[in-house]
Amino acid sequence: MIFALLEMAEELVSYEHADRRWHRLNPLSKLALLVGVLGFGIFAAAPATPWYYGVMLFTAVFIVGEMGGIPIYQEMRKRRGFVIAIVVTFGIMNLFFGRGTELGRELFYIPPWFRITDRSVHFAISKTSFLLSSLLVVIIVLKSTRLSDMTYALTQVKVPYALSMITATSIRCIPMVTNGLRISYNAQRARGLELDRGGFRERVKQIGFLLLPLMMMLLKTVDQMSIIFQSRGLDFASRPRTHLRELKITAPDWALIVLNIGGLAVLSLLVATGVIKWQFRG
Amino acid sequence: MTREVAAVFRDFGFQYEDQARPAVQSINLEIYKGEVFLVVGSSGCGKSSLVLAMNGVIPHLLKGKMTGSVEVLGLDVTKTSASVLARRVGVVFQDPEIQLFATSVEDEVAMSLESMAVPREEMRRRVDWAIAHVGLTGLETRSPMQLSGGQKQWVAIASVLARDVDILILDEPTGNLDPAGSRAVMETVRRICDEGGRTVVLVEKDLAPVVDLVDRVALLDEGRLRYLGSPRELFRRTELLKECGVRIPEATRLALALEERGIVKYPKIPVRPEEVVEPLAGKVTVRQVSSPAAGPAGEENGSASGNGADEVPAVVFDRVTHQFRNGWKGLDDLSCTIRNGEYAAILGQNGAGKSTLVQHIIGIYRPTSGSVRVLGREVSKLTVAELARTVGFIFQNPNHQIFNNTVRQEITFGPRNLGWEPDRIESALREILSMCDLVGFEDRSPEDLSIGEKQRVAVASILIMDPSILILDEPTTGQDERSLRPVMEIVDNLHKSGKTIVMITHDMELAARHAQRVLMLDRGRLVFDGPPDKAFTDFDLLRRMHLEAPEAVRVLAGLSPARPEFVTSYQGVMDRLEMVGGAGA
Repeated sequence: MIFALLEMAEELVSYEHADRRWHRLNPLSKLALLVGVLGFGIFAAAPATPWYYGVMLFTAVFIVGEMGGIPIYQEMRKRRGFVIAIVVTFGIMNLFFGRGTELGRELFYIPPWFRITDRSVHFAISKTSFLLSSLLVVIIVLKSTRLSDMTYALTQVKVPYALSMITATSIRCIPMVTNGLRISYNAQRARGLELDRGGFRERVKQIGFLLLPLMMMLLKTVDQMSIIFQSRGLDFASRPRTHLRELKITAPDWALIVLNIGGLAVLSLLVATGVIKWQFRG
Repeated sequence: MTREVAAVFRDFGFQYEDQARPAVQSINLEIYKGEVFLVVGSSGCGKSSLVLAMNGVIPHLLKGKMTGSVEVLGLDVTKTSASVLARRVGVVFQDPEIQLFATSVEDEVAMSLESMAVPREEMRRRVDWAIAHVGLTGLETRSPMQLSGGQKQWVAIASVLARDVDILILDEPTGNLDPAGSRAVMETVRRICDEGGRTVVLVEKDLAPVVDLVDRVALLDEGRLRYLGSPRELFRRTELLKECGVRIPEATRLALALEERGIVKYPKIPVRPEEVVEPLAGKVTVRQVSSPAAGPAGEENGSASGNGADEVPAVVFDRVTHQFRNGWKGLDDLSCTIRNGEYAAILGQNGAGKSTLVQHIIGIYRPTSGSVRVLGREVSKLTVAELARTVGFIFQNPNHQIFNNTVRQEITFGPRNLGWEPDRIESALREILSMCDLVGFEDRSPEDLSIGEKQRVAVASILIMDPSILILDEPTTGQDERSLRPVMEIVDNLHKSGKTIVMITHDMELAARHAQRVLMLDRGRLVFDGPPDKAFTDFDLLRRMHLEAPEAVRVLAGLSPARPEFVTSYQGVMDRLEMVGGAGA
């Protein structure tokens, strides 16, 4: 299970070279979209917001992703099991534990805890939509952006180089962790280790046998990577650097930035002045 | 004429912070500008420590105590930062997986140039040149992670070439590659060396493949310089090479034996079969052996194989297909039977399905279709832990399985998992320590051991569970001649006692010397299943599989092309040679 999840994460965040609309955009405008979706999503997932706002956001992200050449539908179909699992898990969690459960019109009630109301259903829909929208936008950004372009673009807006480079290197390490975990797991299983044996304490101990060699392996690898990194004259210092490609901000980039950042600013203003009610206040 | 010096080591020594002994000591050495210089020696002899002092990793990044001095291109490494030295000294490391960071080939090559703030136009020119130079044109936008091992090393080489460094260090660049990948990378290295103008420092465990490439060689053993001079001449010092754990090619052994008997005098000591053969023309003939099919591996190992047909086989693959999630077929309708007591070698290129095959035997992979039976039991009905009682799997890299604080804990980890009684564990431990020559190591930390000792601990930790079937995954990886020999002796003894051995290897000499049966895989299919004498004398098959016959076979084939014969050592060749005129060689 854990391997399947890690492998999926690895596939979802890996850049795919293509000449599509999303690929041609500046990384900064894609980051603006990310910020916009997360900001709008937080608003849409609030209990006082109508449930269809969340659904609309999800639909909008889905459409812009597809229009920009990212095969969102195909990806979701390929991983339908995972998508269904998210929808079911978060839906149920929110149905039972969302803040709206005490309020609204009761749909059914199983004493003492399970009270489902129309508000809790709406809350569940908007929260799950938010989660799916956030995942989609991360996939859109990472699948269409080279990490080096992202790093360079961030340094242009004065984000410390170390921060952007460490983020990029961390994403690069996902396959390494997956591979290390698999090797370590198989090596210990081949010596009779069974993770699903015994009681809770026994299982925790077994997981330790798995994680310890993994940690040792990863530490050694990180050490080696650090040496290699510096041997190539690379470092995290903030100083003038150049980039292989010129990253221009074109009209579609400006449109995306204004729409997301400007829109978010307007929304924040409206919420702050009380024109739009954000938090549920009964 | 005095030659210009690229690097000077004066009484250089270095001891890592956490080590009891110096990694290198008292090194006095000069490397000249424009020469191709080789540093050779067994695992842990200090080769990498020596060259890492040339780019400032030692003493700036690796902690420890440095003695003496190192000057590179006139710069004192202790007073020059690693990032300044990186502009003039480039290193390509052994592991292609961990030295690449970017999401495309061109980004990877450009990375260092971006860091050096090279202008965009100049950077584009250098990147395109370096990519074309290593033969990666057309793959610029591909992710390095999607490339083969050899191509990944090309990317690493290109990223150094793009920096236009004065000194190029290649630290075992083919150490993790299969034969085809190794050949491809070595061709590129050869081209770079032939171009001249750049100082190239090669680090290798094996001298033979690069002997014609290098101008001079430094042999290191236990951190000390044991030889400095001509690479060919080093092969005449067989005792020294043996002592230092450097492989002596069978062709060289044969040439020295022929010289000793006065049959021929080689102007330069041969390292390749064809170099041995040419001067022998007209001097010797090959005596045909009546039954070449009888492979020496079988004879010498006194095999326990071929037990009665009614006996339950060790492993049966019945039309097994294994399809991965991405659609790739690791195994494709594969059927084969490995009998009890057999010693089978599994050969093939990377991605041929070798690891997938053996991981079905231990139950890590389950077939998509077909069935796998181990000693008559359906693998799909057993857990990996249950199978571990019957099948022992020795992983390629001992570091992947070793994690306990002491050798004792490490070796007894398996039996404790299997719920053995303490008395039984203790008695098995004593036996295994003695078998693997680890008596006295019980309370030492595995982390403090050499790579060879660690491999013996890994082997012991599997053997203590007394498996009937033992699987070895690439036993030569990371090992040198000296550390590999004891492990292979243990395995041979186990085979003699009736255990079934399955070994994945890229090393044809090893397969020829030890195995009784060869299975060759290609794209998940079994393309050959038979005895080594048939496998290693079928040159068309070997060519198709990108494999090479063992050197001794190639010598005999060179002398008698019409009827190639199977031998595993130079002694086997000597036994078959006859002087023209009748006398045996």
